[in-house]
Amino acid sequence: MSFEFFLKVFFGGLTKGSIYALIALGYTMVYGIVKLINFAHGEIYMIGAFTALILIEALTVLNMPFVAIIVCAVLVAMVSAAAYGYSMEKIAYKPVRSAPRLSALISAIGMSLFLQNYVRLAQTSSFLSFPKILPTFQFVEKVSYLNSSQIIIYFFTVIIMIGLTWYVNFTKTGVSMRALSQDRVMAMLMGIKVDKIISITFMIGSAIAALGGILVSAYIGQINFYMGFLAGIKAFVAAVLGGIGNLPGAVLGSFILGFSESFGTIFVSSDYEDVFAFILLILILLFKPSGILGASEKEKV
Amino acid sequence: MNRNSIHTAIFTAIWFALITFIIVGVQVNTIDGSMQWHPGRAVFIAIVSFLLSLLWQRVFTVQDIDLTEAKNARNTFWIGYFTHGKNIFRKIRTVGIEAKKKHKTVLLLIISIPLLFLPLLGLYQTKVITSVLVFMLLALSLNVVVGLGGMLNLGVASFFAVGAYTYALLNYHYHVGFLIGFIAAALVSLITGVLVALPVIRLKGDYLAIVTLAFGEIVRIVLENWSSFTFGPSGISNVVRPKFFGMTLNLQHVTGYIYYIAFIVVVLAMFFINRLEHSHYGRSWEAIREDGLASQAMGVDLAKTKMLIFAIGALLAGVAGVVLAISTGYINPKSFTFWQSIIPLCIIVLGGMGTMSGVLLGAIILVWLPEYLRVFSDYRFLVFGIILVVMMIFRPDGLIRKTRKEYQ
Repeated sequence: MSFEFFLKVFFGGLTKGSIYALIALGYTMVYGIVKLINFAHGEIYMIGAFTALILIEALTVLNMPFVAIIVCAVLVAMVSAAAYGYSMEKIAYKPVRSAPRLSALISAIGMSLFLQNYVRLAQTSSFLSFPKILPTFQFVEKVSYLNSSQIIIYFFTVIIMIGLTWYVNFTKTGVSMRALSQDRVMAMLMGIKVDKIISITFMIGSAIAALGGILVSAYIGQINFYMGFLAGIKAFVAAVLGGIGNLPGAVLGSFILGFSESFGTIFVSSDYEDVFAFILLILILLFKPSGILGASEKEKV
Repeated sequence: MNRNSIHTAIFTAIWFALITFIIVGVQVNTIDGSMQWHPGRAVFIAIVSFLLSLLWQRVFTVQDIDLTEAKNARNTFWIGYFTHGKNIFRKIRTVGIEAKKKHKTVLLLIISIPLLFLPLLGLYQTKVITSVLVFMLLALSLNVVVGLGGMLNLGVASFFAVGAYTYALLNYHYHVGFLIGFIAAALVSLITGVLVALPVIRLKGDYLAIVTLAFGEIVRIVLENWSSFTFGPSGISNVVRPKFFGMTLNLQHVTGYIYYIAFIVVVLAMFFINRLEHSHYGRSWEAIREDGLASQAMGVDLAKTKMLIFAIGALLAGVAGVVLAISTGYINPKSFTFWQSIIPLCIIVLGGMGTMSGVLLGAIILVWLPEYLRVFSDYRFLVFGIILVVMMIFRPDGLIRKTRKEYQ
């Protein structure tokens, strides 16, 4: 294996990891606060990508300038994904918040099933090609192991990571979120509006997932109603890997997953690409159920 | 129905029409660059969400209304009677079809007697009912693990696949006959169940669900890619059908015969689970479902009990796989996707977790009815999703409520 090839695989893994990170952040935020595996998170990611695709096609007809189309499409897709996240929480998760955990999980699976088929019926079940909206940079194109789309994906991932870290650590809402994830009843007593904070969490997570969806679709070049399922599961694996409920953990887990998949396909077999994530998940849960950075939970009796 | 709730409903209608408009109202085709507008769909969504919002608000306010208030409202204004008096929604959430023993026996007799003569109805009906029976077996398997054991298993399709593939491969590579193949497949899936249970029983709740899901996906991907042994995505055709005491049957007879096999298997499985449930094993299952730690303190071996539950679930799913393999005569990895794990889950969630009659009812509604409503087959999974959410919100116990056995 030449060094060039190694770098290519390395940056491929980094790209995968960045994408997983964008989805896993939303997963882990929601889990940290409402202790719910938001199964439909992958579906929001898919809906974000679909919204952007439709808007790009529709706005192209109107003859708007290219940059304006993309900015508009991405922003509207993120806002609409946030709206989906908000409505989803109100319909499917809020009524079962105090019910047993199993009920909430089944409700989430139902929501995922619903959203998937909603897009399938409203749009199409076949693969659609996604327009190439990511710009190309001259200086990157000379390098054989890296391309411009990857640079843009890294750029957005870093921006989102920094932004989210700042938001959670230094804003008032962020502090409320952390308070809520530590002790919901206590947070309520301190005057934190629980419903509002949970809604905001869902909205932020969904908007980030939509951005991830658009980047992936533009990078791969095609889109399908089923794309959210596997991506969602893998992002969840990444979140668990790093310690669910923990933001840096989710990012770390995503990169570990991205690299292990990328190198696994080279060293083992490309047929079993998806298996690596699952085997990793099982191993991690066996030996460190709280994840790499997660604090182990003590059971109260 | 006051002004406030109508305002909310109008707002909801506009909200949903707006957020769904992009996905629902515009259909793009990037291949030929065409675009279709469907404004009618957005209007439809607005109307539906308006009505559902009214309903939703009623359901959630009705519970909180004091009875005296309802009485006053009835006297003053007829709409008040309409909204408060007929407390139908409270009934939806509380009234249970409680399965009593006498009813159960009668119900089973009513269902099973026509089923005995079913193959007379023709090939198609027999095949449909056989597939319903396969899903009934799967749901029974899940019912043990989820309903009785309280562990959410999202990978029941993997055991289903193990059963079907063991039977088909033994038959293909070693020409093993039906009976031995059946027993071998059941044993192999039992062993797989134990092997999967070994690592996962330490996990709880959500994590367990995800790991079983992961296991299901691993099995499917291996089946798809291990071409030299499992023949990959093309699957295995001409799976041998059982012979009737050494006689080879023609298509019509063999379909009927397989139907009877499936029928007997389901009845035996129900009997078996019923007896287990009321044995000391069943009581320990109930104990660990309610509180693992407390039951451990009382001397229940948590690991062993959970393993037994998993093994029984796997065994039943494996048997369902064999029945599927012989009834269709053809299996491929597409028959064992995540959705094959979700359908049985929907069945038990709708029917009522942990109840036998719930499984029957659920399977009839979710597998048998869609066969005759082919027009709506596109909407099948959409409806399944809605069912899961709605049931969890309004009736987490399912249509048929489990009654606890009282020990005197």
